[in-house]
Amino acid sequence: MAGTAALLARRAALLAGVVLASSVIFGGLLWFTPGSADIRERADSFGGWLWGFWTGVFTLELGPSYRGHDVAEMVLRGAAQSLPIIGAALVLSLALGLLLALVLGERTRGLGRLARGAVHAGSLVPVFLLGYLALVVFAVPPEGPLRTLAAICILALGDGMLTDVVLALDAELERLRDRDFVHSMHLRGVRAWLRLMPHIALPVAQLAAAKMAFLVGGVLILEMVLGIQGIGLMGYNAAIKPDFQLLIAITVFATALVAAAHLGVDVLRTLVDPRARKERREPGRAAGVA
Amino acid sequence: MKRPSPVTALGFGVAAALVALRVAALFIDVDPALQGDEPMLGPGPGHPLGTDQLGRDLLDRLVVSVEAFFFPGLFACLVTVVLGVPAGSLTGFWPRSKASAAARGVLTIVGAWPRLVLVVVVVAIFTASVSDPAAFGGVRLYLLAGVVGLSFVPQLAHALAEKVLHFQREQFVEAARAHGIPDARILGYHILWANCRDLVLRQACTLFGAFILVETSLSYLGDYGVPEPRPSWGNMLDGVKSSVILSRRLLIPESWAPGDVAAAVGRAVDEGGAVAVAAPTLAIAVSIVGVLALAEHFARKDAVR
Repeated sequence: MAGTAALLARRAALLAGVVLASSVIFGGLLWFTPGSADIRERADSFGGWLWGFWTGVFTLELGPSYRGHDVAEMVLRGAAQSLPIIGAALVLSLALGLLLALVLGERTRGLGRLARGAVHAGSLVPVFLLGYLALVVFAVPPEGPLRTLAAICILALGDGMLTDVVLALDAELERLRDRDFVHSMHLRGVRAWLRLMPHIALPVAQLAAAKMAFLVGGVLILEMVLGIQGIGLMGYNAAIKPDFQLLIAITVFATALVAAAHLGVDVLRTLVDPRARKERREPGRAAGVA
Repeated sequence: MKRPSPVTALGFGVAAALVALRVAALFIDVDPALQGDEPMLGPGPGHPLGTDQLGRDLLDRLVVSVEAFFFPGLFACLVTVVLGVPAGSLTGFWPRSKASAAARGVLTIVGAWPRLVLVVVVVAIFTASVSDPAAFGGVRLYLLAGVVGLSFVPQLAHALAEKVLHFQREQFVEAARAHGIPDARILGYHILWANCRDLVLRQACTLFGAFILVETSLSYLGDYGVPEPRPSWGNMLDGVKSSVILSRRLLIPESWAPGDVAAAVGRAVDEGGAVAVAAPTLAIAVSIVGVLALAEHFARKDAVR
């Protein structure tokens, strides 16, 4: 148990290091950009600014933005808009992907093949195009719950999100279907798919974490198209203004979100899968935020 | 001869069409800023697909738009391959070395950055650094391509490292070592070239599709992509937003009789600029689906190995 805790602590430290390194890299780039007067006014040196930034992250006092608004408050307000959309899109995509992988997995001919092709072709349409079509063809209103619902569906479907999920779960289910216990269940006439669920939980969680960075990028475009006041729209506007203090705060928040998703999966994996606890002895395994 | 699968045919068909469009764009010599006097014209003899909101020929702009992503997309692939293949080989072939641990650390950091957030930050830095960003539109596009390429490096490196690690334990590698063949040749020829090239091509195709997606998305949003009057499928769609609403209204038939439906479609095409909306929409969708079909073709070839 102590070994497991140490492993998780090491992993958490690694991911915290990733977020810190990201803030150093992006902060450094922004600090040394010629037009970065708004962050240069906050400290005498880059080290001083970075220290102030991280102190501000923990005390929620990141100072005012270029336009005088409180940066920490803006990020929290934006996150309150974006995170439910990202979360719901992730759940919807995984649920739809699992359903399609189960239903279409063994139907590789005729209608099944046609349906699979239609799902993939539909899913590969860019998010901005789906948002555009939602606004101008399906007349989704510019605000309200219908717009949020449209955003969730578009994010769950577009930019190849659903395709990636279906393909990954298909491969996982195919691997499971070849296992002896599944063949044995088939022979006994037991419905196998219900028994497969516990085996698929971990790959689904890993897929969810891997897709987090993808969704954070997608939400940036979608919020611009649909006019949702989330972190994506704020980040884009901060880049145009430019409002570097807000931009770096949003970048670090997005990186931390992705790292937190990976840490969550690591915790689950270490608790559920005994092989994960021995993983550190295996050489050459890429430490995995991907 | 074995008939190609529909996925293979689609992939190579779209790739050939994109190359043909890029070559055709070389022969179109029209000033993109030049405006015509007949905006939103339906398809006709002078303009096979009609005109856009500023009276410019739609077919010309559709073809020239390929310039916006073709070479930048290939540049993005080059960045990924040049950085990703050595990183993947290093972490897969010499997994215990210090250089490999350092490479894994860098890949972990880069892999944690959401791609579009990275793009926006880097382009914001560039825009703030130059006095006239519009004058550096081409440079910005290649910078964008470089950043998208960089964001794909961890994906390629991780996939390649797993494969290299797997092949390193195969008997043919042990046999090659026993024959005194140097590690560099085993890695470069016997593993990477003979067994991993389809994986690299697959990742490159996926990246090219992703770059079309990023370029058209940013051009549609208007600030960071291809600026008007230079054409891109993204900014073409942005320009005809108002026509979509008109097309939608005109597309509603008086009744569902075939004659009325055909008349409504005809009205939307001739008066509502339906082609101006549909052409870039279809071009984006078909290009991305086609390029990813090519990626799937290479994935299947890779799986056979």
